[in-house]
Amino acid sequence: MKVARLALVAGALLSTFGCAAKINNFTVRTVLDRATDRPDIDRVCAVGNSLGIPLMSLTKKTNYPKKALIVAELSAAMCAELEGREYALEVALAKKNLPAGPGKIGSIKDARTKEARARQLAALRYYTAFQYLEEEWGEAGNECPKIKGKDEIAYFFGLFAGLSGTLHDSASGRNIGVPQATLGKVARATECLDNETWWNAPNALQAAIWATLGGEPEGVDPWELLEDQAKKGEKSGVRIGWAALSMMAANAGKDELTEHAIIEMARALETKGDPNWMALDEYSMMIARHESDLIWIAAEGHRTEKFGELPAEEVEVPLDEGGGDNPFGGDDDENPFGGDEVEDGDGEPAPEEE
Amino acid sequence: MRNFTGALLGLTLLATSLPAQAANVICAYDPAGKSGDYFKILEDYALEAQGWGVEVEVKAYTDEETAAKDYEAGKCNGVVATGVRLQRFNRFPTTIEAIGALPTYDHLRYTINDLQKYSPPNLRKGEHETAAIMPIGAVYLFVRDRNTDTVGELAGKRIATMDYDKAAPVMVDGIGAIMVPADLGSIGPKFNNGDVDACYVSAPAYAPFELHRGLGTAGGVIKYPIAQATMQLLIRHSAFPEDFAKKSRTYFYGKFDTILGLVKQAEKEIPSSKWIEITGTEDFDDMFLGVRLELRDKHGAYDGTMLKAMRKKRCAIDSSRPECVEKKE
Repeated sequence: MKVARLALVAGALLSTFGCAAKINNFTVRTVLDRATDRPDIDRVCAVGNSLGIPLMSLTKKTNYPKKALIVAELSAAMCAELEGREYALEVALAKKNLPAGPGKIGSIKDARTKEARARQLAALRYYTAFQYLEEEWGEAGNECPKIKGKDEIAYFFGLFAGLSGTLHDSASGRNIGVPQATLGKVARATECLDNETWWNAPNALQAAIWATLGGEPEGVDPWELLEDQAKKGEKSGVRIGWAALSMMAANAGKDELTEHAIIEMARALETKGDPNWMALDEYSMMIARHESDLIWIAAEGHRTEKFGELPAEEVEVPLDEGGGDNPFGGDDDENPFGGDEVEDGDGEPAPEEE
Repeated sequence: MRNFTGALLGLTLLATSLPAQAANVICAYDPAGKSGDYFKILEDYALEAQGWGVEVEVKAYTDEETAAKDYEAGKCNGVVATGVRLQRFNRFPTTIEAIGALPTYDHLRYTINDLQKYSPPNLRKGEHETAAIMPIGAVYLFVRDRNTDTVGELAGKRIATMDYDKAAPVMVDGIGAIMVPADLGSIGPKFNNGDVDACYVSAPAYAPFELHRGLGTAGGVIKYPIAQATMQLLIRHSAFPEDFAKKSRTYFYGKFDTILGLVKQAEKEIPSSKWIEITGTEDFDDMFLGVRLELRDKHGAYDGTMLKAMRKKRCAIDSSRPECVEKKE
């Protein structure tokens, strides 16, 4: 079925052979529109994986359909990213559940290597998407380019890809070599987009970068700003803001804020998402759920049972004042809940007679 | 008897609520958090420590003062932060960052090697013991006007300085410049916007803070290190096996070249045209020496034993330095 769908898309693209503008329009409007109307990231990333090279093959190298390629590379990057996140969970599971010894160390190292490889691929694809943005609109972070309304989504995706590419490259040993200046460029370039049109995500991205790198205007707390944008953005039905907060807070080791973002994301999801952007909302949920899974694994050794709920904290039982006397009065030997323990032979205390 | 039974019951409950082997948490500062280079290095170290039979858990912090405070408060048994931030725990290891004391990476490498080889007792002060010293990079002076390349020309210039660095006011005062307080988050914007004429940072800060914007066409980077910035691991000695810190120092010394590779990569990102080569370093050396002596004698901010060891190292590498005769350190 997927093959048939792809063949149709490829056929449609072939009919526009040689014209980058038509391919851009078809991909950014039609393909993207259809791809994001269901909460199915697998499908989106499969399309991105498959379309990238055909899209490049339809025009001359000097005239790639760059806006279409931003979408394709970003979607393909999501496949690698989600794979990398799975391996990150494998690392956490091995740390928590395996008995100490060489087997545990080997398992952790192996899962970490797999994670790094997948993240490296994600970084390559995300950064390629960002490079297409700069080829299309010029260096990001300088004066804002003229972006047609219908192309703004490609510009936003390109910026998102710049941020993600930097983070995944950094997390995988910097083998792709994403320039470290990318974050600063992205932070400034978010101001070229209308914040409310795009789910308050541009300001959320900017705040996330400020929280990592500094550079925020005086008097602005980037974490507060990020939370504020997440709250405002959730009304749009695309909850990228809460995902960004959970991810950035976890990266910074801010445990309470991470948990807060997860709970808020779950609460926000009780309201129906924007039907046009279901896949993006699903992706956002998956990012927050990943952070939730890491918390669950560290505490309980398994993934999240119900998204929005966190493992119960272990309660340390303190000694009672006076050294541990029965807190309900009476002797320790007595049943503190009243009555003598009279067993009726089955090991359970017998019910008291009326 | 009843009290004894109750206490026993309480202790039993407490014991069953603890994991079989509680991991030693290290509060680890990395400006990039969990995705940062130093955090990854520490995760590798935690795995290595497992092989030694010690459970270590690395907790990320993007604010190093919070990491240091959490360590002080007993929330973790180890802390990773820059040397300058750990000055308050033990002056001996943090003096390795003394102004102008280690002019090259070889000087730094040999000094760290000596520390892991000889394990001087000064590495431990009270309950705190230094278990690692990693390079962050030589600290260079970034100037918006490349003509400002002598000590004399720095007089009257506004220099962004970390407000928690005790050495900064003495140095800035000594050269007659004006100190503009900054932190890691604001140093880039202050330099790039022209709020200051100069700032001093390691090369890994160049790209993420986009300092090329502040350098513009007129600025440059003076190619003579002011100091060697380091990331240090401090542990609570009693929480670990007796030889753990020594093993750790040896482990991290083995990683010196790998970590330095990251620093050198960052230095390569600064275009060659931006480096300002200076011909005579005597003025800088004299100023650095004066600042070190003042910080040792008047402020107690630098440790004399470490200063002396580093002077010996400089003289072992270049015995023609005037200080090798004067021996003020």
